[in-house]
Amino acid sequence: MSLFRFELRKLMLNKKTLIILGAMLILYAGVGFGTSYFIVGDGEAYKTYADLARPLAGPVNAEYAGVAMESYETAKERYGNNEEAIYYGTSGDPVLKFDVDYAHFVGHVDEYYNGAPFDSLFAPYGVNVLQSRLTELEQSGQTGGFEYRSTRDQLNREVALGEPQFANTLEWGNLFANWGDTLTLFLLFIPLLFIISPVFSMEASTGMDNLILSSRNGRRKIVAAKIAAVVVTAVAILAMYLLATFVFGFLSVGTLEGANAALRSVPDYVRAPLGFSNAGFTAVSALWLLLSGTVFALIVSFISSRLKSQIAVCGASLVVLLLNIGIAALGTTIQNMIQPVVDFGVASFALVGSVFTQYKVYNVFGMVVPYHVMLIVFLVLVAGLTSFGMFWGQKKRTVA
Amino acid sequence: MQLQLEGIVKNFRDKEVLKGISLRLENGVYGLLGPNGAGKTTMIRILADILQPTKGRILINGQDKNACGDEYRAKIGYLPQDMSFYSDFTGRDYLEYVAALKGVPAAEAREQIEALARNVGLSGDLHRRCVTYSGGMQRRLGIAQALLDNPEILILDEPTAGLDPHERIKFRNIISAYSKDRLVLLSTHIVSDVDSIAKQVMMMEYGKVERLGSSEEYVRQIENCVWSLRIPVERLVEFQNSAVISNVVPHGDMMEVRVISENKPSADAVPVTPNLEDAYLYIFNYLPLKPAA
Ligand SMILES: Nc1ncnc2c1ncn2[C@@H]1O[C@H](COP(=O)(O)OP(=O)(O)OP(=O)(O)O)[C@@H](O)[C@H]1O
Ligand SMILES: [Mg+2]
Repeated sequence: MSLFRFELRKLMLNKKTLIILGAMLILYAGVGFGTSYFIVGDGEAYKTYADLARPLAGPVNAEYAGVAMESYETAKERYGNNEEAIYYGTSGDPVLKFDVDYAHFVGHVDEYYNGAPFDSLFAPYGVNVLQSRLTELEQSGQTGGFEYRSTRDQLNREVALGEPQFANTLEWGNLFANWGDTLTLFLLFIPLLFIISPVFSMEASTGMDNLILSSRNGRRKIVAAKIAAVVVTAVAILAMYLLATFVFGFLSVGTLEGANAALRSVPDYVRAPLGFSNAGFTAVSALWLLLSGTVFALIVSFISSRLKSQIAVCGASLVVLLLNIGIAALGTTIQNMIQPVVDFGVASFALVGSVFTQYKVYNVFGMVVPYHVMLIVFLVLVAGLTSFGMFWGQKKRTVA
Repeated sequence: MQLQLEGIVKNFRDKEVLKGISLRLENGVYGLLGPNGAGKTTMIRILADILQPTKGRILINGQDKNACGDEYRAKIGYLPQDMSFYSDFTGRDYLEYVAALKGVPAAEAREQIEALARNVGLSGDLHRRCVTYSGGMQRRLGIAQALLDNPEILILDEPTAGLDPHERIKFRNIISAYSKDRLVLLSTHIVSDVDSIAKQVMMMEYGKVERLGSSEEYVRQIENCVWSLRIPVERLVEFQNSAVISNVVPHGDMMEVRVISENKPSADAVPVTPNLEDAYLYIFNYLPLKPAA
């Protein structure tokens, strides 16, 4: 058997880990099924919702908009002027929930033109808002600067993508939330971290380092074998999560309705600067999660190659994983001061929900570079550096 | 095969554990004797390339080992002092894994494993998990893994520790059988392990290899320094504080005591033929008692 197959066995294909993976599969299937089945009451309620939505697919229906707005007011009276309370309050009532969703949609279309009061001055949104900013810049002669170019780029995109269209995308929105929300970190990244963490540290803690480091292939080939095993294990776990949440999510309603609707029909993604359909974005998100999750696994492996106990590796990896969440808790002032750490932290790059939901660009020597392109470069860099670090570390490693 | 240590120094923080060891070793069995903490394991780890010396270098056939890259380690078979296993590996898994580490092609590895398992008497147990093996079986598994890929240099760190006499003899025979055309370095506390098989014996203390010679040379050194005498049991405890005793055999109320001493310890003492164990005690226990000249 080759070194790679042994490393894969030590990491994943052993009884203990396979049992854990089996339990995880059940959990993931449950998450996929549960989140989608109960999204509006139950299966029957979903049908009611879908039937209401079907004839209204497309641009704003002014007549129904009025009806929906009235229902929205009713919901506010009943559950308080708080979106979360309304969300949970209406979850058992498909008709009311539909009206609230439609009212939101109408609001989103307005924002598409005029932006929203809560928009930051530094991240303007809305075709009219962007247009007037451009005019301002033109009048003050700042047409050569980065801001002018990025604003123009953003406006062009918004115009090309057009006004948001209504569609029933409940299930797709739920899928993207399962794949790209903070909960994903806990459901997927923490188990992943736990399974990858012993990859190098186990050799120190079991004492097998004695044999490994004194053998011909124990300083270079073994690192390649371990990295390959880490990648395969990470991809297997990530794919299991993606498949289980997808299959069991859609199984619960028995339809892929909304697959061809635009991604921008999903409320959370209404500002996404992307022209994908939901099916297309599903592929993009899956690839994104496979990439970001694998890079995270490499970070954990690197930590594992520097520390001798699995618990220490898990602890350090958790800090890396949850750094952003910790920073977020410190408040916006501090968060703004260390924005790059936030933007390029695991909790940000791992999640499609934070990468693709809005127009976000960087100024790289005057060039307008989208956030996700920056992240891809960053991820490739991290993968390269951690791999190099593992090879270098193993070369210099001693048992003392 | 020639292995050369040149001024090897190893410090752990400010503690000097090896104090400049220079040796030239060739094919044959070398026994490395020394008390606990002498630095045997440290020296062996440096030879096994899992520890770097603070100073000095190791030459293999005249070439610096660090310049040989992976090929130096390819020549080494190493049995560490503490054996370790993955809890779910069988004996066969363990050997196959080490074969993969050594880069032995799969088909050849299978043949070697069968042959080695037969020779170390583990053929019937390879399917069992190694953590369920007895101490003796684990050591034999350890020697089998060290011998995989037919290494030119075999380094064994206390391979017989914790083995019963029968296992120890089996072990010694295995090593003898495999010592032809290789350099074998064997560290131990048990003098009789190396007495019969080592062509050269090193005595190591406080991070220095004090002596290197054949068993006969050591024995010759202490001719007329080993005595046998009889003393009553009651006096034994008191007596051992002032003399180095190498053996005691009860004879009724009296004890027949084997003593190391340059001077005749008592009027009724009779000289006896020394062995390597006496030499060991002489060097490590008798000489340090005498004030340095
Ligand atoms: N990693 C380390 N850090 C600090 N000191 C160490 C380390 N390894 C060994 N030592 C010290 O070096 C000295 C020599 O240890 P070593 O294990 O080489 O002795 P040894 O001759 O093999 O002893 P034993 O017969 O008990 O196995 C000891 O005093 C030990 O405490
Ligand atoms: Mg030792």
